[in-house]
Amino acid sequence: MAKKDHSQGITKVTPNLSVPDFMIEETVTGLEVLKEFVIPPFIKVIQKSASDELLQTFSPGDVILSPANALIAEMPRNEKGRPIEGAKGVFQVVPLFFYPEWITWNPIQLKGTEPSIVYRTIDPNDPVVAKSRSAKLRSEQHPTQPEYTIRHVEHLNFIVLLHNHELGSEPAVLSFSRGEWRSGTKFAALIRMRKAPIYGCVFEANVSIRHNPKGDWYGCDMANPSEGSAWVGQEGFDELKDLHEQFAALHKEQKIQAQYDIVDEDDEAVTKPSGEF
Amino acid sequence: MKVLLKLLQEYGKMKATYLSGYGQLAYIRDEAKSGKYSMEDLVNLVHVSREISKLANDLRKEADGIVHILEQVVCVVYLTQAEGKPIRASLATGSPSMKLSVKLPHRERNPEDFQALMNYFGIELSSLTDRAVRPHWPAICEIVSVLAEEGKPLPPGIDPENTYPTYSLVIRSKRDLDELLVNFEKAYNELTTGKEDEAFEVAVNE
Repeated sequence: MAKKDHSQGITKVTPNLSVPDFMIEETVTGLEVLKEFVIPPFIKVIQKSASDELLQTFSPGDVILSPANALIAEMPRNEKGRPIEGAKGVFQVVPLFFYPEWITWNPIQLKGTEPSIVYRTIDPNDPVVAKSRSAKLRSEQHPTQPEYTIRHVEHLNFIVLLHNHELGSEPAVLSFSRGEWRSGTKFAALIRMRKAPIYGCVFEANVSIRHNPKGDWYGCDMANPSEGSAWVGQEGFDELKDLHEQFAALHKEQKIQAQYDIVDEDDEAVTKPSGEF
Repeated sequence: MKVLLKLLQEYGKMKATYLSGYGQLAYIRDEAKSGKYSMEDLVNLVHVSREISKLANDLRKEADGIVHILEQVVCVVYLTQAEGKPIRASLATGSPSMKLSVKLPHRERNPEDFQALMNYFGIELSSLTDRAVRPHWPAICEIVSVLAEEGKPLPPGIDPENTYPTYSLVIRSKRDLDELLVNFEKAYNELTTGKEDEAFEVAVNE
């Protein structure tokens, strides 16, 4: 596979955002539902099974900001377009806020006929939490179509800012679940080990290929930065603190809604439970 | 919580067994030293003492295993909660802590990474050829944990993919268990309802 031209996907334009004169006096309406939720962009690692539309522009292992489909990090490839062995896609982030969410997912077979998400909660006392953490209870028969199974999944969500990145610093969701759940707990542990405010730390994401007997997929390992400072500068620290507090308040009001990747990978390949208690 | 009461009652029995067993064994030790037993008696005493030792050791291993599992569960759930405060329970306060463990590069299978790691520590590979000196895994994990706390990168040769957190739980006792058992017995007798759960709640809240 030849190296793809990503230039179309990351073309940056500066739109004219000023309101035309004739609208200035008008009351702002029609945004009531939008105000209900904050839906940050989603940091997505492209998998082999991604949609054709994505695979026309990106290659497996690339990391993009969804839904804008802007490239964050590219998996290093040789001249034939094959991933270079041992090479990693790397980018840096500043975590702003962490929260877990528990979701009951419909099977991929019902895509188009039923919503992907059956149920979602951020309440740690919800019965779905215990189900998602137990290998025996994680999968259940679909309530009306017993030939299918629904799956309860714990998502470890980090609201992050891209650090020193040309895409700027819009908060985005970096989420870990299923086969990547353990990487998420490792990231949470690394943050705790710093013994500093979450929004004061810089981390590096290393994207590499994972293998298990059922297949392979690309996953993200978090580590301290291999280059540059592990801490944010004093300048801008207060803004980061403000952002953290804003997200903490939004979380308390249940107003953050992560836009997850619809589970369209080979389920068996990426869901091998690696984080059993 | 019923299971906590049952476990506490097991602790009470264990303590009683420990005290009486310890006394009996100490008595036998003193008697044996003064030559009071025949050879046959001694063989029998060794046999029974070994069985006691085996049982105690088996139970210790089982308890250690349970402690490890419960610690992991507490720490992982703690990590997935937004707040990072110690967990204050009625009998004790638990403070989870974590370290970073690493999978070291294999000397034969991954010689480049192994050499990079040894160079980082200033160790000449030639000094390792006779196998008398080997990397000490717990000490390297300690170093890597300190680096992680300081925000420093991993030493060369160690892949972030080959790191994983390990958890431990520091327990600070808030209640004396023997006293709690006494309070429970007292509350159980006073309540006269025959409900152990109720009596236990009273004892815990005293």
